[in-house]
Amino acid sequence: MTDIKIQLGRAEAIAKLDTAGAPVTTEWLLGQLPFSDQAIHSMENGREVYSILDAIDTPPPENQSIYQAVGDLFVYHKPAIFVDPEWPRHTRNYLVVGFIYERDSAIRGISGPLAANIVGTITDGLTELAHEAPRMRREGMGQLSIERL
Amino acid sequence: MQNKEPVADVADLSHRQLRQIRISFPASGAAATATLLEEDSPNTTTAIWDMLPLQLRATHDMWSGHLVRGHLEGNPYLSPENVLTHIPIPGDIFYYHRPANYYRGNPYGRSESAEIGIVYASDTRPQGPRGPEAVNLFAEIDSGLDQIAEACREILTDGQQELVIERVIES
Repeated sequence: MTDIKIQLGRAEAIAKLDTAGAPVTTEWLLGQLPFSDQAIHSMENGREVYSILDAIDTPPPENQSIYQAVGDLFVYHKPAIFVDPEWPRHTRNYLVVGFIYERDSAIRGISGPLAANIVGTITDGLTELAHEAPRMRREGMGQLSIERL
Repeated sequence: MQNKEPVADVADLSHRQLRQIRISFPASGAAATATLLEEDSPNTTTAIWDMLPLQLRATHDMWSGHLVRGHLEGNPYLSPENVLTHIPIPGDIFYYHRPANYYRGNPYGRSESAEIGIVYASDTRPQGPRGPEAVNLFAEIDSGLDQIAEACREILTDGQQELVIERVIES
């Protein structure tokens, strides 16, 4: 297991990467760190916060599930229409890294459930994230930062 | 859906004229006009018209796609009418009500709520954690949708905004 620190606005959390279940995605994500960008609250999946990754290479399907759990850290291709108000001319989806901070949430595509690479689990600070995300949703979204510990 | 008495009886449309509402976000200056669908939803349009002007806190939806909602104080209950059962189109404005403890999750699921929703882009469907929701479609935006869409999109990252709904043409 490899630990990473997640910072959402004022909240900090720790996640353990699933090096056994998602070795390629884990290695790939570590290669993107440190990372910091605009945090966005989901408009279609419930209690999900994510950021868009500006990566040239993308991880293959690995350790995927459509039944994401609270605290899951994941990487997937989000349909562009759920990021932009209109379909971008040359983009069908954006690669994103995100997490779910509360129950009754699920990653969805245009026509149904969407599988995500589950790359880790938030083990500490989830309660703080679950308070910070709704606050940011009311008052404005800040940065999502991820770094290796 | 529940036992509350609706706040409006069947509307008398014999004197009907085209009624429009103005929707605006004062912080950005974005504004649009919408026409009430009085033939399709007489009770809802009458009840909403009687509530105007409204100042609401608009929040971006987290389950439905490109949609913002504003909570109506006092949770006025309106009977299902002109129920939108499938995919709305950008510019649709609807009324939605849920009773307390309608779905799991605190605090939203436990709270009764009446809301006005505005659909500002495609690939949207009113829904919550229990699936798609029936809403009363009562107005359509005629002009200014681009401005409103931009303001609605900004709520996603900038947070809640004041939403004003007021009468344009009075019958």
